[in-house]
Amino acid sequence: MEILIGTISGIVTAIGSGGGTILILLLTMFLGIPQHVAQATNLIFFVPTSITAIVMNIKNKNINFKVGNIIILFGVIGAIIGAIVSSKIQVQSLRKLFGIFLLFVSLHEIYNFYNLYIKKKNTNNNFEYKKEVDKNEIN
Amino acid sequence: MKILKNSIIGICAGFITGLFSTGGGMIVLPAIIYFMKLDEKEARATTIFSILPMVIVASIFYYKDKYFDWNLGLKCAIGGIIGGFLGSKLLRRFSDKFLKVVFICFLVYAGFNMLR
Repeated sequence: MEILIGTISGIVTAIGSGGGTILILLLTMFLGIPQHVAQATNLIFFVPTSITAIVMNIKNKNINFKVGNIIILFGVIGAIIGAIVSSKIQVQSLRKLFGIFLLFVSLHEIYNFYNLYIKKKNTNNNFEYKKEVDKNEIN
Repeated sequence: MKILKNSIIGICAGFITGLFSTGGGMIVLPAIIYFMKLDEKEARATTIFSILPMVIVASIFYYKDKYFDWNLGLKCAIGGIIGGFLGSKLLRRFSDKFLKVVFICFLVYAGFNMLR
């Protein structure tokens, strides 16, 4: 069951972002893992995958270090504050906050979805066509 | 101005990462696309690069509080490798649009479920 949950999260990660969120959700909803433990598990899960991705991206020169370094500097400060708040907070309130956060994320995803598939239908058709070509090449 | 924007993005993403251990990327990625005008590929790479240190710092705190379950983490990681492979090879056959709809529905359901 744990492996299956990991598999689903891996699939979601491969498609786009949000694998970690799915991992936490599945662990807490179906296995009854406490929220904090599920979140810690996600951290273990994230580090090796992201290191691989970073190495590949450094090789391909995709990373913008100028932007990244400042975000890291302040991000680390934010992470310390967030982690302290998270450890002090009651599990019930943490889950509620997480729920609110999820609803915001889904609003954003719906907005993206609208932009990608409804507003720009013409460009999308082009994209679908390209994908068809790729598929044929693979086959 | 750019430095100010970047530092605000950083603080917000870091706070979310520390609090929920996930979701920092969902802030950084759109933010640097909209505010820093990075293209999608560069933005994705920069996002992963900048989230890793936040995750490592957050891990230290979760580790100190003894929330780590290595057995569970290992099993999930095994699944994650399988899933990553399946996702990149086999699922290209499904439409991204369909998968997105499933993903969004699940998020909305789970969000309300957590609020109860």
